[in-house]
Amino acid sequence: MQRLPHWLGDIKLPANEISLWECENTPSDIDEVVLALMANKEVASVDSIDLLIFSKQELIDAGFTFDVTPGETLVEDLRTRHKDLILGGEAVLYLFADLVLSKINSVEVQRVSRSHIIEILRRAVESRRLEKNGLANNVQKLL
Amino acid sequence: MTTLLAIPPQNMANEILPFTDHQVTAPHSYYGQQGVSNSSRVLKDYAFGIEYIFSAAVRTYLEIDPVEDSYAHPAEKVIREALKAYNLYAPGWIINLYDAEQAKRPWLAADLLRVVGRMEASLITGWGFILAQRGLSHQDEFVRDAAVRALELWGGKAAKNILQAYVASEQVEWLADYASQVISELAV
Repeated sequence: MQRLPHWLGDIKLPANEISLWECENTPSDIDEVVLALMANKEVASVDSIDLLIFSKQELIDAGFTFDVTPGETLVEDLRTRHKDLILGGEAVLYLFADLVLSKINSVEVQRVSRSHIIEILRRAVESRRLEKNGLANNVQKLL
Repeated sequence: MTTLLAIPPQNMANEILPFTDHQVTAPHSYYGQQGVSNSSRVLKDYAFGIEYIFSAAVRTYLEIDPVEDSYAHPAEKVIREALKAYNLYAPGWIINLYDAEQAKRPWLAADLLRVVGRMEASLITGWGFILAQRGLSHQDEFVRDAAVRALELWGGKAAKNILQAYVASEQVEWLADYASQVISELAV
């Protein structure tokens, strides 16, 4: 049997789902997803982050289904962008792992630099979409 | 494990005894050798014992939990506490751990570099940059990536100089692009 990559357990939620955020394929809308991900009190520091971007249709065609669930983010207007990808059983998990690995192997990973993330957070605070006090102390210091 | 690091020396002797070949309760002649003070021997054994415990703790945490972008990792606390409490020894322990793992488990060496990269620049001083330079010359691209990330977090002139010297030799396109971007963004 194929062995799951060790990091996959880390992105899998306890209820056998994977957390995804929906966006248009434009730099400004991808920034919105970055904001949703980073505006979280659990985020302890700001590192450069890597994003894997899937076409929604690609996932639907592969047989995956989604649940719309409110995302854990401090930016209210982004919560509805959150989706849980449902992993019914191990076979679906392997299928998803294959999809992820093929994207990594073909370098379809988007890196967002630390300074760009700080800029995105700063703009959100300035436009009052994000309450600075809700962020971890180390993150607040950067803004 | 952080608590263990805070154990006073007299208790530590019993903690390390099962794990080492060193005789903590040594015969008088061992400590009484000419030119070697008893206290320096005891300190050496003590440091060796703590290094063992430190390395085991950091290894275990890195094996259990992959390092996630921007999320705290349990190994961070152990490393930070060690650097504060044993500032003369801990940099050597970290470098030893990196050297021990980099060939057989490059992913663990990469995660170690990422966690060390999150230490405040005041705890890193010169040794961190030496470790990052070793990372940049590693054959595994993810170890090199971790070294670039560490330098990005520490920032400053030294980090920028190291990255500038390295970037032209980087053959992996995405990593060279990332390093170039970090160089341009590092304010000096």
